[in-house]
Amino acid sequence: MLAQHLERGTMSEFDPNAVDWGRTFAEALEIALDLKIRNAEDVVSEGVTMVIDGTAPFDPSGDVTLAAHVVAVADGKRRNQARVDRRRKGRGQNAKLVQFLDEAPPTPEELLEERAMGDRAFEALLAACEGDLEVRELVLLSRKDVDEAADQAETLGWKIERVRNARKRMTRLIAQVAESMQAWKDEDDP
Amino acid sequence: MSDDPKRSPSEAWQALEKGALRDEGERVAKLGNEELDASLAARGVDPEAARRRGAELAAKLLAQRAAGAAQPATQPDGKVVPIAAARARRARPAALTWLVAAAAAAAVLGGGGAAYVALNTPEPAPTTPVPTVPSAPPGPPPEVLAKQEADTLRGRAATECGATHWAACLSSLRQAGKLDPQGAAARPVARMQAKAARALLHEELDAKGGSVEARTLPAKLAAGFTTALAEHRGQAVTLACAPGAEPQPLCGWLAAALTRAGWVVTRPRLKAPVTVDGQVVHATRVLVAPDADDATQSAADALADALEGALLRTSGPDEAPAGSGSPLTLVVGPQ
Repeated sequence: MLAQHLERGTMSEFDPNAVDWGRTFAEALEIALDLKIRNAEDVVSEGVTMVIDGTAPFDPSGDVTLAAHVVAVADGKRRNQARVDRRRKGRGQNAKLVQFLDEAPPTPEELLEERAMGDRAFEALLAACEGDLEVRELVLLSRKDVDEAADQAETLGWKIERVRNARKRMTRLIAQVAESMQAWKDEDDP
Repeated sequence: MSDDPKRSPSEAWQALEKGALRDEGERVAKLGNEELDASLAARGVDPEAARRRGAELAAKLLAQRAAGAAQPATQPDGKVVPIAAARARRARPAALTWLVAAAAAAAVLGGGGAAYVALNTPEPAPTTPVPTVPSAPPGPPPEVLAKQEADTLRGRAATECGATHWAACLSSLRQAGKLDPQGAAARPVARMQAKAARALLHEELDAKGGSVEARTLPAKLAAGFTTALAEHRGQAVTLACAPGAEPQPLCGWLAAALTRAGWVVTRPRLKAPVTVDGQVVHATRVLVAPDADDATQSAADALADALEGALLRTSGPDEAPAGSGSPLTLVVGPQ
């Protein structure tokens, strides 16, 4: 990991002019599609824009690749936008102007709502991995703050390859649940 | 390790999502180009086209970024005259024409009669093709590309503002401002942006039902209004007030505040409200002759700002034609 960090350099060394954006775009698209993110190409375009225009600077010394960062920041923005849209919808016509101003941070009610949605997603994930006990073990470990593959292997007494394979299956299930979450939100906010 | 969970289910879900994204990033980063392309193709994506779109988008954004970092170009005389500003000015829909100039003049002289102002039909703003981004050097310098993009956006904004699509207009202007900050400072552009922002605010207020109380200029706001305008001491202004029990007291307060600021106020007695294109002007509106000197133009901007600062709904400055008899006019209509 250290070598990887050294290879990627520090944040101050990130030079967007030196990036192969065609490849990064393709990577980000692959990630977004694999995670079943809606309008994947739009999301990736938004992420690239945010990174290059400085809205969401990339830290090469961080623990995610540039392509994953691109997807993460745009998906985060999209979710935040969805929250803002719901808020506006609740306020009706009067909120027309607000789209040009910075939106206020989430209200306590919105945070509670997000938390409830997260709880529901976690329960849905547990249900989804009912037939895969290895994945279930990993999901349960996440509540104990054990997220890294090496730590999971140590905690469970598994070989690292077994953990990695289980994590791949878990990623697919997470994508399915995340996709379902969007449908729940659509149902809640017709 | 304790069996007690350290995270709530929601927190755990967030961590899992983050981990999945990180794992995906690592997995995809290890794919060779052919593998990646094959995977995308299997999902129905044309990998070559996707790469090209990504590269073109990045090239465009990097050009804009470079332009933002570059010093703005100035003309030899030091004045910056953006194309967009000129275009916006040409396309400005509010080229006001005094339809019955004689009536207005008579009103100014105290002879009564209504002043009629017409708003010409907006002409569609000229637009230029969206500049293409070069896929390979050599091409236009980044700052030129950004400027072209800003010009296009401002041309579009003029059309949008002309069609009273204020939100779209403001959005286009703000995008253009990011690309070309110097151009955004030009008076016609700044005015168009202020006009759109005010109009949006008014729409917001209208949506809330608006105020039915008579407008006032309380002492505290009047003091701020006067202070804001004192810098333009000596400025001549025509205060064209609609008759009626509501506008007249407001006009009196405004006349007094303007006078305290050192402005030279001419207040004609009108028998009917000022109309624009057959519609009565409501609230307040600042009109300035296009050939007015720079000091008057600045004063017009300051007046519009000061009115808003005094919580009085206003629009403008809009252009009044040369020869209207007053370089600067403040129209006060009914609510």
